[in-house]
Amino acid sequence: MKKREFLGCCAFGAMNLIAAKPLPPRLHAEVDAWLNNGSAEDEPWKWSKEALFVEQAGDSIHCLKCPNDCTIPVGGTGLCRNRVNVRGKLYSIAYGNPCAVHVDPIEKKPLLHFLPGTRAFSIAAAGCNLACLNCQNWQISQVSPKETENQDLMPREVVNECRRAGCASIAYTYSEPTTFYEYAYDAAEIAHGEGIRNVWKSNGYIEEAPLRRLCRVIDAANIDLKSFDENIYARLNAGKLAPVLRTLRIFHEMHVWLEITNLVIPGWTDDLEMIRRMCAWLCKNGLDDVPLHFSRFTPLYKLNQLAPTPVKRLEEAHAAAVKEGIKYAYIGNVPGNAAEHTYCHHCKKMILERRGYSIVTNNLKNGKCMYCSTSIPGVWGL
Amino acid sequence: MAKATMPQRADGWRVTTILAGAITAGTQIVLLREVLCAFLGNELVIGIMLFDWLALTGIGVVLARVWTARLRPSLIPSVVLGSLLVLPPLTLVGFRLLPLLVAPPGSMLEIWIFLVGAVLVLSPVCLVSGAAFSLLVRASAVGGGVNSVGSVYAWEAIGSLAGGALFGVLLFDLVPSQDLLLLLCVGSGVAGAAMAFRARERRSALLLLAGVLLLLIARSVFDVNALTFKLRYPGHTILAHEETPYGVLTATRLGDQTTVFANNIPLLADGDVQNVEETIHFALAQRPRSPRVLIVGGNPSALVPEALKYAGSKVDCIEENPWLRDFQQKFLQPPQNDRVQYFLGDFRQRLRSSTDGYDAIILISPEPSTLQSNRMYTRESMRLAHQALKSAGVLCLSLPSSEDYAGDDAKNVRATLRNTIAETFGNVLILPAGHDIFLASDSTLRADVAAAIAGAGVVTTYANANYIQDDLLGDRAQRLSASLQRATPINTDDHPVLMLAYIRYWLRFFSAESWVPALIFLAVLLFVVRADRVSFGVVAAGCGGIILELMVLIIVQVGFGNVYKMSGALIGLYMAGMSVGAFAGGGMKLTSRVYAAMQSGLALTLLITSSLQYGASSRPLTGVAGLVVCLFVGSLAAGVVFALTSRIMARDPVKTGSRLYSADLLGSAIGALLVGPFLLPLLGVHVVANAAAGVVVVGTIISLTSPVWRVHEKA
Repeated sequence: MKKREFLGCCAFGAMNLIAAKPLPPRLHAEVDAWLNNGSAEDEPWKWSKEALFVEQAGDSIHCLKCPNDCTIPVGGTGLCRNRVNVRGKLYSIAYGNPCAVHVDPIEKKPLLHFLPGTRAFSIAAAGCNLACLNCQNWQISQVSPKETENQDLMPREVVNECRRAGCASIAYTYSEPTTFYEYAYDAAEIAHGEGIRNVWKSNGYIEEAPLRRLCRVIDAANIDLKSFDENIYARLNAGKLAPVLRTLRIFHEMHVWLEITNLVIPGWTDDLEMIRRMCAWLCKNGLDDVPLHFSRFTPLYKLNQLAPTPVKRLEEAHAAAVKEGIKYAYIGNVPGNAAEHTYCHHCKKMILERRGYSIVTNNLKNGKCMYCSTSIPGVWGL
Repeated sequence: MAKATMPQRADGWRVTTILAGAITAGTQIVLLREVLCAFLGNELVIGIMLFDWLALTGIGVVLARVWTARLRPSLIPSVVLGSLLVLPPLTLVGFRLLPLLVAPPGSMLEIWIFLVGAVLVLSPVCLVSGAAFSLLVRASAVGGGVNSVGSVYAWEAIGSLAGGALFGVLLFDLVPSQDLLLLLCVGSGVAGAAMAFRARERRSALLLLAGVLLLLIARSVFDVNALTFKLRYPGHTILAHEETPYGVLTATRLGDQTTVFANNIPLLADGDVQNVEETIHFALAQRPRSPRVLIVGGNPSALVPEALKYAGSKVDCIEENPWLRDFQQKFLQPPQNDRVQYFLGDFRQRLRSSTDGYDAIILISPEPSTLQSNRMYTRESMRLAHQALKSAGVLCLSLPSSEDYAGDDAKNVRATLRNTIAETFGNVLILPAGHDIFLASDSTLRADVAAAIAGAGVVTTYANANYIQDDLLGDRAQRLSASLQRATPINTDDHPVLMLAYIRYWLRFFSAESWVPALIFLAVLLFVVRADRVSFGVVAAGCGGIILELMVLIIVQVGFGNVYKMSGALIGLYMAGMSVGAFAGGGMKLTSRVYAAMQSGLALTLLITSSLQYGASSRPLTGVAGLVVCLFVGSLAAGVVFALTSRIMARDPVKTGSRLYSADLLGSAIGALLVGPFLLPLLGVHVVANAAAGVVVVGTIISLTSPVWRVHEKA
């Protein structure tokens, strides 16, 4: 074989190898910095704010916002794609530039025990600190704010727009709000001061200090508890379970209204034994009265070769949760299912009959069951 | 190193060449099917796979020239057949299991794993298959003559034709693909052993027989299908599994839910209330009075009952895939009712033949990621639908949801579709819900669908004001519509820009860029750019030939719908033309004029083929006859070019064979990779045909400037 032919073969193989971006996540920030070497921006862009919760690590900066624990060199970017080290200072580049702005029924988050029948002014900036294979909003979660089409909406304007839209709350949602923490926090603080509620729809992947600070201004949270297995968290979501469990405990302890969503994915998270263990853990940690939503999976993004979740399996999960002691279990993404109603955990009677986002029958008076006067946990009125 | 210029002819080289050709063609067909299943089988992925195949085979040809020079010619048949005895089944198992072992369960392969994995898994079989060509040229050579190159090329084409026909006819109807491949390999192994015995190579013969025995034992012990099901569908009960000309269908039961998977993607399932109700009611609520409805594709078991909720409605359902319809009837039981009619066939034929006029036509198709699915979203389909609708009728199409956000690529896809529809219909409304529902009509369209459904008095589970808040939906629709105000090309049958836009959007899943394959192409181009001038003609003919083949397949596909059955015959015809051409070229007068005439013939057929596309739609029989003639004449010309070039290159046969065969494969690889996914959507059929003809002409000119022609003609 001639040298030229050998080199050709090598080039062919190499081109196949480098044709995409198979970078281990930990190398991401380093490579990003290396690629930007010499062309790194001298100044952050307009929608930047100096990041909170950081510590210096030589020239690099250690981000303490989430359990990804990124150490970001000059010119580098965090795994969430929106924390950038510009000349030794870490900036969030998702401040005042949401890529998605909509009004949603609060039940869509889902929050069924929090101001039912109201609407939430919902915003998201690009970025996420996980990489779920089934991400519904991958077009905004798996990219940087520089790659999305954004609006110009500073925190004060978010509150104004929310008021203008007649919404009772502002929801930080769609992507992962932890990654645009500074923006969300500032908007939430203004809203809080003006009597508008704040809703945190998140994967719960956040460190303790930023979370405790956040609890000062957040009124309700819906956290995705994606599974109850570290291995599944690593493979399906590129994350860890333990920090999410800590988040649940802290929200509850800090009296932020909490609801939990568990997406039941066939072959991944539909193991009833695991669901039982999850529910047992919730009960053991005093979260038995936190509404738990079992949500139906439909094939999305890269997880496109699985069947949708059979309704029967969702009902089995629901039954298992109730048996373990969860007081308010729901089934989501299955229109018309009986498990979308709210039943009193004491007398078992239906207190809120729902049809989708509407309440058809309301047997709740002052937050209590009309039949047995048991107090039903939730935030029922403004 | 031993000189290979005076080899002894080995017995049985023709049989070996035919068998090798048949095995490689069969393997390629089976592996293409696996790629469709393991990965989203769009034109880009298929192009990459074919490119890898052809390029690796080309490398095998070159390597064999150097590394097997000491091999005794009498051993060549048994070495070739011995290698091809085990590698194809192993490659098939590798292709089937690799995605299941490497990718997380239920997820598609990352594109970089596919790129690297395909090269790794294909390498052994392709390198050996390429090497086999060089070896067989050596085995067939007599006293340093070079005509054997053309002969081996021709016999190999005959083998490919036989393999293609065998798999094309038997694969889907009688024997599962992996068993058919195994049978072919075992048969070849036995033939190889017999030839080795005749050539007194007893050790080789015994080794071959042992290999055959091992293969049969492995098959009886190791059930690859059972293992695949276990890994792919954990917890499911497999109700049925069938390889069909339209892809692999699998019906499973999980809990109380029946799901039908097509090429491993869930296609039909119970209980998808939101999607079903949005699809039916968003359209029918626009025209609720006794609507006459046509539903194309989808799951009639779920869709029809919703359509029948409208008083006096009549529903026609059409499905083009007979196997899928059997699965539906067997496992999902669509309703039987005198208001419902079920048809089997191409939806365009139905639209053409419809006379009464529909109030609503609902087109349900996978995303336009392939030429086949793109066909439902083209201007031609819109026009036919428009003709088949009443004056105020509504057309409904859908794409995956962009309810919360649509990125630039997603907007491009939607804008292209919107603009394509708007060319035919007066009004287009896009409702971003669980899916993005595109409604089109010449009359007014309502965005307040919940109110419209309630007004029609239809009771629904999901499509009502409890779930759909008209003001919020209207607001999102308005925003999406405003963001799609951009000029885009129109998606047509011969210029499938929507498919390219969709492939670009799909590549975003992996943060990969659409120029990735161009990089691979450049790498190989650099690798063989050193080819001598005379070989350029073969590169150009290989490229032109495969473009001709792809164009005919595409034109037939677009004109008639699915071409799986017909594709075997067309590919067979192409191989037959190549074979006849290669034989004929061995006896033709060797002059630059004949050579130039043949290349011109190929270029001309490319030009004629592109202009026949309209004939194929309007006059099917004449059009197809014309395409068949063009395909045969073009492939014959390419075969002659190969044979003439092999004769003009005054070298030893192995060198000539390896140089020319790798040049031919390179040209084919470039054509396969670039045409389907890129050039065709970007430039359209006409321009691609003109460009390919231009490549052939340029290649010919470069080739004719080679001194070998002058030397030969002076002599």
